[in-house]
Amino acid sequence: MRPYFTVLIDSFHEALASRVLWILIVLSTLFLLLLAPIGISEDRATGFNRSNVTNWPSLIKKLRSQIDSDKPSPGKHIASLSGDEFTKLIKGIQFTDNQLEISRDLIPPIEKAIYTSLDREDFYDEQSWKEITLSKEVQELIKNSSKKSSKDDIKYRNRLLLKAAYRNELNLDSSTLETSISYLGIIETPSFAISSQMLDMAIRLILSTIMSVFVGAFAVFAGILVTAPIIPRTFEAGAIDLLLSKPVSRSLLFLTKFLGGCLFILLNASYFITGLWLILGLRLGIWHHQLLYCIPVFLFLFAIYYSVSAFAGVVWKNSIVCIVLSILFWGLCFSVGLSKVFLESNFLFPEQIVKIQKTNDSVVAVTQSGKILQWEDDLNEWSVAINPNSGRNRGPGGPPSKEIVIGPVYDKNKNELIFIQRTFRRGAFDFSGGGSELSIGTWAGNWQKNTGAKPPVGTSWIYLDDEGTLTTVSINGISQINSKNRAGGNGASILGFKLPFGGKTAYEPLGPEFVIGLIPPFSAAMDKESGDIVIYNRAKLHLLVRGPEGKYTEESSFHYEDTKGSTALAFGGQNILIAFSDGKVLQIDKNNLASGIGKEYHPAGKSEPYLAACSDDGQHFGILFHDGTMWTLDTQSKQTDYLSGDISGFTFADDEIWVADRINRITKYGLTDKNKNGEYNPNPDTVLTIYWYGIKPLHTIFPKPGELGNVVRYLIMEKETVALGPGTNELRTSRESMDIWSPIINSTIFIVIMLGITCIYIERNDM
Amino acid sequence: MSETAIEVDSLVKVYNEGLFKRNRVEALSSVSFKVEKGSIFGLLGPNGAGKTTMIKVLLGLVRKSGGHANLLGKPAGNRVSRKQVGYLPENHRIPHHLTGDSALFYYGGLSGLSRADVKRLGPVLMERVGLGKWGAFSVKKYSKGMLQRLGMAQAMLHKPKLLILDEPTDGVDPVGRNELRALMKELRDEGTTIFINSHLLQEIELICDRAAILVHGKLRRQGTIAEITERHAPNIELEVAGEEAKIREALSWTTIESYEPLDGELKRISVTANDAIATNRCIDSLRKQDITIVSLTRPRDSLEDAFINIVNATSAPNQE
Repeated sequence: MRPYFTVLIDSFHEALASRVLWILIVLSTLFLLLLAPIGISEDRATGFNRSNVTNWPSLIKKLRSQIDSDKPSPGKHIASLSGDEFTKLIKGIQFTDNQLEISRDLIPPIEKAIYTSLDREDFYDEQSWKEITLSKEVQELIKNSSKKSSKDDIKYRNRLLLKAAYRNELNLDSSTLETSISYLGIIETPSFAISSQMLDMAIRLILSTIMSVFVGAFAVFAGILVTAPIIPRTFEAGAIDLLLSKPVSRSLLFLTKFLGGCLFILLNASYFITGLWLILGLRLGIWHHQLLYCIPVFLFLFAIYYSVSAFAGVVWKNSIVCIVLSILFWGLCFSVGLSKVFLESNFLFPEQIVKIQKTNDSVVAVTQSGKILQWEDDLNEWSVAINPNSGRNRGPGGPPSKEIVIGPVYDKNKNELIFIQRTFRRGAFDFSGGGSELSIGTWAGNWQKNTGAKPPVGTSWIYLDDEGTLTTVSINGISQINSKNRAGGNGASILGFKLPFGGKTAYEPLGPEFVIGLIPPFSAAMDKESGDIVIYNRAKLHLLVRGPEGKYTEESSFHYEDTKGSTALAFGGQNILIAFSDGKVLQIDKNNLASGIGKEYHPAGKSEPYLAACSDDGQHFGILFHDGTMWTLDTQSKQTDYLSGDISGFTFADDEIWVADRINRITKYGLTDKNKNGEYNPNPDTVLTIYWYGIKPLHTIFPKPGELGNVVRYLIMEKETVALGPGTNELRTSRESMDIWSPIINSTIFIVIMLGITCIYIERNDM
Repeated sequence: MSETAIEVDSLVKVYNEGLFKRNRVEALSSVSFKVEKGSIFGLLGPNGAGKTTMIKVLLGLVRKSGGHANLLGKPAGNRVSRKQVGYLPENHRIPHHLTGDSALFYYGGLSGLSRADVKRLGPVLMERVGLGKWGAFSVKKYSKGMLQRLGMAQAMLHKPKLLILDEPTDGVDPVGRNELRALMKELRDEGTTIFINSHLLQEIELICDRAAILVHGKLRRQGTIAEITERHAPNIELEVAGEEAKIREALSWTTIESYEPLDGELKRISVTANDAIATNRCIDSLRKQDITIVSLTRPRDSLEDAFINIVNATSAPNQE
């Protein structure tokens, strides 16, 4: 091995002798030196603003009931501290049929009143907080309050008191920090409130960008420039003769030189990334060990380009040819990748079927862009039945939906499709229902869209029973409307203009009586047999049981600690399937819900779930993950199974499972045997043909250096999927799945093939 | 143990050139020769004769198209035999990031020597090739002659049994050439076999025990220098003392090509005598007539004459 070790060491010396290496090291050092003086100072959050309110109607309702009551309460105390204006303001807000009439103008004075009251030393009144459960920390702070307490301590204590009093209405995360950024300890930005999670996410995002741009593009390109001459110089006449006269193998000599070239990028990437990691750790106290894993990823990325450069170096023995070919190769990979992304995001994904609903005569499907399609058997194609986006200018095909279609559910008696189209809003202002409306598609030769009764505020889930009664789950609880009333909705209007909130509602509230305090997004599932509903929100699973009069009461609940984000739920018979955003799936018996114990599965690694459902009899469950994995569970035989393909949607229909894949194909499989029973497979159009038979195969065989960026993003962000657009916590929104392994496997194969071809060339040809 | 260091038998190398490799160029055409161990063998030939191709085949850099070639008892190109070979290519390129010393570490390492071995052997060798003070300098600063010396040093570093040198004195000044020649003789005396490719005839003539002349890929002549330079002319030259009439009578059976009286009775004559029998008859005839034979020589070419004659003969249209 000594000869090869010598070659490796020499490659290292050769790289060290390169001026570009030193220029890169100097530039990296300068960048790190510039970064080093940045500091982040964090103080505990003591403020309050409107974004802390998660449920305005509930907050105002609660404040008003407390103000109206004779008993001392936090609301009454805050009102007494804030003066008559505040009391008048709260009392003046109108409620019509349980719906709140609140305009945005009212928010600033309420916000200001609460904010100001937090400054006051007398914010805490023992009588007022008598019935509120206080955490040990607050109790300790109250005990230690004295005149010597600083203003900041008082504000912090008061904020915790406010949090305890309005736990379901406010989101006063104690991990929220008042953060400010300083440079050299001299320049300091004004402090801003950000949760530690958000701060961590922001830093990860910045890191991900730095990694992609500086190391992923700049350093790799510089690496190609520096290492391009190594192989041609080795194989030029006069040099190779000298080397091959020694007792060495040609192929191993080449491979060692290749490895030596890779050492260069290893040196550079290690220096820069380790420096960054140390600065983050030592200066900001953030030790992102995942950052160090990026070193081998970049080495790998470099190896892809270098394998092309090395091949050119052996064949043409010219550095310029090596560089030009490497750049051309990069351009080719980029073009193939770009063409695929362009076609997918503009033409294919908007048309991708994400929901399926069997109707009496046919089948309807919902696309990612929110279009409802109907299958035309005679033409063997999908036709647009209802286009909720018609009239909106969204470009060719439209970008992936920033909205979700809730439903559709199908009323087989009236042959109607019922769905809600809900627009996402950022932050906490989703109290108005977001302008969502109930749409009813009626069949009259074709589907006609009509507007139905305005759904309750923040409706997120709808269910339809065999009698045509529509049950809705909204932030205020469960409501229902019968088939007669659901058609005639009239929203509130002033001078003929429709208001986005308020108005009479025909929906009957079914409880539960206590306020669960749902904050969107939340997930829900109904057992069709019993009508019972499970809801998951803010790490808590609630089982709501329907009583004899149709009212819902909470039977049990369980708080899942250490879980983040949303879930996908399915409920049938005794079984509840809960799929967490970290990819974990729990099968829970509804009677054991309070214990939180269930059988655990990990069917799709860390991929986030997209949709969960179960068959009408509650025996078969299915979960579709954002990476396209479709997993099924038979609760009787306890058998689990996977359905292959790039699946985008599914539904249970009678004794079959219908699965959407390949953009617009639906295949029917038997529930027990998983045999294919039929399909709805339209004739492919030109774009789809180009995609399936041109771009996709090319993309499959080509290495994907660009997609290795996803691996870096995954390592830094620790997420396999990225939501497209707002509503990032809503699992039902379309997501860009980060394919981690495919580019690694594909690129490894490419490197092996390139090196193999080069070795064969070297072995077979005269030097 | 074989006594030959290099054994080449009917060696053929054909290059297929051009866009579709349709142009066939025969670089070596049925070449056969042997190089005895412990000797210096010179391969002579004009530019493009196939000398470098021959070396490349021996080292396995180029694959042979036919025939056999053995190096130190192993097939040409064998990695085991290459361990015992030192090679100095023509126009070699030593990477510019190396110094004289680090180049020895690099090539020594490639030959399987440890750093300790190179540390021990390197300075001595650098001194021996005349680069004693230049080891720490970058090879970028080396002249052509110095690079040749460094090339020699790297070839000798692992004490090979066979040294293959392609134009070793190319670019070296006359003093340096003389030093290198002396070095080669020393190495031969130490038992190293040396195979030299050169077009410098004087160099071959001065140091080679045996040589071969390669022209257009074909081996035209081989043997000792004396054998190569032996003129195949039909005449012998004699210096004799005696009367002219007797001399002419004695040699009446053959042709006297030239007759030149010298001092006194001494004459120099050139007589046609194709072979040894004719030469003996000349001697017998002259002795019968009491003519004194002072000297008898068959005239020889210089190596240069022999080389030019062979090359010209090969280039003549009727010869190929």
